[in-house]
Amino acid sequence: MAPATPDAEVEALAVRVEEGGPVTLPEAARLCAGDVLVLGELADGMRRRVRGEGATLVRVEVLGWADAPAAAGPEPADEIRIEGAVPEGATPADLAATLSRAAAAFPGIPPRAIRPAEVGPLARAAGLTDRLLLARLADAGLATLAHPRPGDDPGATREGLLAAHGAEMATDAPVGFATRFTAESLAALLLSLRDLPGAAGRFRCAVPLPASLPEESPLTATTGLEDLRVFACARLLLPAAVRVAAEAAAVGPKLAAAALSFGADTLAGALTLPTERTTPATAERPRPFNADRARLLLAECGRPPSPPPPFPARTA
Amino acid sequence: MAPPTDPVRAALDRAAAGGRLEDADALLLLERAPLVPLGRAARAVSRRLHPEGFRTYVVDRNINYSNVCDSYCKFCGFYRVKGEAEAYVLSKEEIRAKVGELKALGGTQVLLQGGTHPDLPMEWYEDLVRFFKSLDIHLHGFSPPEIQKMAEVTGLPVRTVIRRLRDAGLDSIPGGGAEILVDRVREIVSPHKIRTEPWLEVMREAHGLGLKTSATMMFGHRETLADRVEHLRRLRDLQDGTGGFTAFIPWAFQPTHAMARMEAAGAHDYLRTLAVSRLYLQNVPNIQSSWVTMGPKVGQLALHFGANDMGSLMLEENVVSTAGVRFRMGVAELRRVIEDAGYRPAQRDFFYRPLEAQPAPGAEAAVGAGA
Repeated sequence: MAPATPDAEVEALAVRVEEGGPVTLPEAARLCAGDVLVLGELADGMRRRVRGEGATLVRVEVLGWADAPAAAGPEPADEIRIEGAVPEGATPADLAATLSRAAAAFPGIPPRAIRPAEVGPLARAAGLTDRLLLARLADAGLATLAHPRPGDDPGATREGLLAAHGAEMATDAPVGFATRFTAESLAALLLSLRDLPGAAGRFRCAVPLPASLPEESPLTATTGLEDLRVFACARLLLPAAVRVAAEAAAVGPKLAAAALSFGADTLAGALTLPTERTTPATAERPRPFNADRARLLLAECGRPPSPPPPFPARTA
Repeated sequence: MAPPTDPVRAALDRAAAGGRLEDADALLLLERAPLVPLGRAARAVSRRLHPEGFRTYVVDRNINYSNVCDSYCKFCGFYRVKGEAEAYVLSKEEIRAKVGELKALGGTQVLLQGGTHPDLPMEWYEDLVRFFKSLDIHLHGFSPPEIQKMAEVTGLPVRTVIRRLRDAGLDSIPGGGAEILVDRVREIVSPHKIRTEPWLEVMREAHGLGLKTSATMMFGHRETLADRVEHLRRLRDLQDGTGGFTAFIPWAFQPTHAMARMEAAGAHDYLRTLAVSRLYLQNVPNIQSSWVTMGPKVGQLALHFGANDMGSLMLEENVVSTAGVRFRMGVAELRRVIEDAGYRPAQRDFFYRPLEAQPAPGAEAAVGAGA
């Protein structure tokens, strides 16, 4: 994307937004069309002001719906992620049972499960409203929703997020984007998240999520500059209370580390697996992105790691 | 206006304006400069040196004529000892086939490298060079460690070895085997390989004989940040005297072999080192991105952190691949990342001359229209 907005205008817009001033869609689009390094520097400045010099590290334990959770390893997790499609025909009681097993194996560690777009179909199958389904799963321990996947219906995703908020469940703000996006589309998405009722209170993290895997060809995947533009604009346009998280699995660990200088204050998705001591013949490439590697990358950036803040308590 | 009191800002401003960085400045920037302002300064230098609206890549092939090597570098998984089952020396038929494939794809040069072979005679290398030149391709061949080995085996002075290779048709010399140009570090990671002064001597002699060369730095292993600065200083000092370096390529060490338990440098360290290199080596015209080790996403970022070239398409690459690095890009992909960075992609020759027709001066879009 060629920058179309002079640096001075980008800076003025960013200052106004950070000070709480109104911003129209055309103005937000002009900001999003700025030079990516200018945006990055502005976003990094804002990140420092609202978050300080550290970075939040989110270590995850990944489970499948059918897995029997193993005992916790030596590296504590900050979050449990139950991944994979919800088993066909699973009832709310089945889901709650899995959540209970996860809670028993990892006491006190919040589990994340169920994509926003899955909420509606699950609720309808169970004869429940979206909000009631989530309230029941929250009672069984569900802390928050999983991140959307490429291809998830945006409308269904929005409805799922609203249902979660209605059930007093904080969620992440997914910022999904595909390659060759326009400044206008990025601005519209970020403003729609910013303007969602109660956004500042119910969104924990904005999470840029490319519609492609990091290892895909540059012909179909988002580029590094596209990714960093989204990180920077998310920081600049979303409320200061909302963190900006770089998901290692979504953008790749290398790009995730770079994003920490473009507005991201959270590095997420570090596995609790220990670093394998392997010989070259058996070394796995690429090595799993684990907490050891995450801490090394944070040290490279000069950002001491801190644990994520607790999920806000539900009052419903 | 009062001068800035922040030494980092002062160093960035001075370098961005074309001033020469002192070693202490470079170290300060490596240690403390925020990444994005560092990148902006490096990009400013890159755009001043290369105001053209295009950024380049070369279509070449890395042909390893032999994997026999007696340097036993701790970070290398490619070498084999002479006589081992997997040791090889390519035949002319194999070489002809590889060059044919390269030329069919529009390739313009061969990056020819091997190991430090213990007993190949000078005539063998001359014959190899003449054979390559009979295939009508730019031969960017050997490296200081190999050339020094040839001198050792033959008893000839380094200057004579290089002159004979040049006279046989060698066009230029890659800057491989540089690792870190600090003997303390070389003693740790490659104790049996050429030391700093002999490496520099090879390049000095090559430049004196009219051969252009590149220069590299493999970082992120046992060196300190001060060692990286000393590496850059050695190169800058030599370049001041000879002007023979066409490009500098910093790349991050990839853990393998005896150093497999180490961790590779991340994007932050890579981009920071790249940017400081651009700011410090303003007498070296070109800086290449190392997308092979950093991947396409971070490799693209390099174009905004001081690099003006995406390096090689790498139709074949064997050495880094043995460390498990598997990034691959084709022409369309390389061009895509350059375009997305806001530049016109242009295939180039060894001398960084675009092989594609470019708009007339004045008809170019202003540089600064990059992403």
